[in-house]
Amino acid sequence: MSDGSKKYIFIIDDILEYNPQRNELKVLMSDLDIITLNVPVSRCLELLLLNHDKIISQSDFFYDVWEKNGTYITLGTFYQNISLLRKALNHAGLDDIVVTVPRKGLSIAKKTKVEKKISPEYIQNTSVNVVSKNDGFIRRFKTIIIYFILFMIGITPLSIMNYFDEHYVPIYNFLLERNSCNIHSLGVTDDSKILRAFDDLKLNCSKLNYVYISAHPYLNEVSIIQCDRPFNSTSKIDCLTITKVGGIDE
Amino acid sequence: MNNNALSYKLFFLAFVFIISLCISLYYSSLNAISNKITCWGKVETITSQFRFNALFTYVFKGKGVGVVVYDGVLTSNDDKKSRKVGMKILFSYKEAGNNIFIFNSNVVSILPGAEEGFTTKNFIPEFYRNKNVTYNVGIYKVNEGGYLFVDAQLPFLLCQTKNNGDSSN
Repeated sequence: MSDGSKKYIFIIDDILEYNPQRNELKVLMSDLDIITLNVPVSRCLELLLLNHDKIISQSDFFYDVWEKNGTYITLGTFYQNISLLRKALNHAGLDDIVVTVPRKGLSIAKKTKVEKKISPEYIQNTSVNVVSKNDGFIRRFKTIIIYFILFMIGITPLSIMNYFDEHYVPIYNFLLERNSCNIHSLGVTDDSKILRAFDDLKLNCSKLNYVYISAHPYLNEVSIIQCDRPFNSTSKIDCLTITKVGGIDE
Repeated sequence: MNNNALSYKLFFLAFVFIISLCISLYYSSLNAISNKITCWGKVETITSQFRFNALFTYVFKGKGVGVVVYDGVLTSNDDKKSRKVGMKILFSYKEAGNNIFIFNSNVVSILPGAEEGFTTKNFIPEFYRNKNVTYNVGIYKVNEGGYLFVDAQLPFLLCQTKNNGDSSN
């Protein structure tokens, strides 16, 4: 007996509805007349209805209803359950639909009309599952987005620090060209002081023709960086840093 | 949503945030200017009496320790006499933005046989001459692999790593 049968209900002779999921027999003409079967009895009926054109042997009952679920019963218990099933069916208005076939087993009487329908509970559960699957997907997607946003916020300091790491170069401005030297000065320094220092040092710009000069605002010192290429060159640059101490302000 | 589930979610969100922040800070620290760099720069210091030409090598080994070596020639302006000067300075350092505070623990001459005579006191900062001196240096990146060392608002060294740019030129 497969669990797949639980998705069906059975209509017997258009009189009785059997719901294996609820273990219930319901008289169709009366909504109030519901018979609840005990589980083994319900399983016996289910087995008979699923194979209503076949004879079910005693051993099949024993296996499908009890042994498969780890229970072992006596023959007396088996007959007792079949008896309870017959009584319930009789009570619902169906006499003798469970037929004994001597030395073979039990079956549903041939004249009995058995109709199998999809259980309303199954339809409902399926649609709920579909809805909840969609809900779950949306929820997971939202969660991923939230984690992603938080991660991006978290790594923002990295981007900011990298930005400053790349952009904190002191700003030298081009001042003028003199004696083949491209002279640059640091924004805050006095240009006349810089040119005085440049003239005083008599720099040779034949090789290192980019000159970056800055003067100390208070001390009598200047710094000259002489390079063969601009600071921002992507190629390797050759530079010499000269510090001149004294002899500038006089 | 029950309280437990909410707490769990909040905890997990905070966890993700903190982890990403840690990753960010870790990689930022790796990119810090003074973290594991070795650079070289030629220096010339001119005073009324002397001219000093040297090659400075800064090695920041990471984990707050490093070494600086300078090796050069000091020449008198008067009689043009010159002598070699070379020192190796072991230091520890601490970063504070673009500035690093360097504390030297040992200063040794790399030219033990060098004759004494000229003093370097007037134009080489004390950090490069005597031990147990703290030195505050600004370090600014000028290009890929090039760092400008600034002392008291004045650049004193353009220090370049081996891998700055194309070496074919």
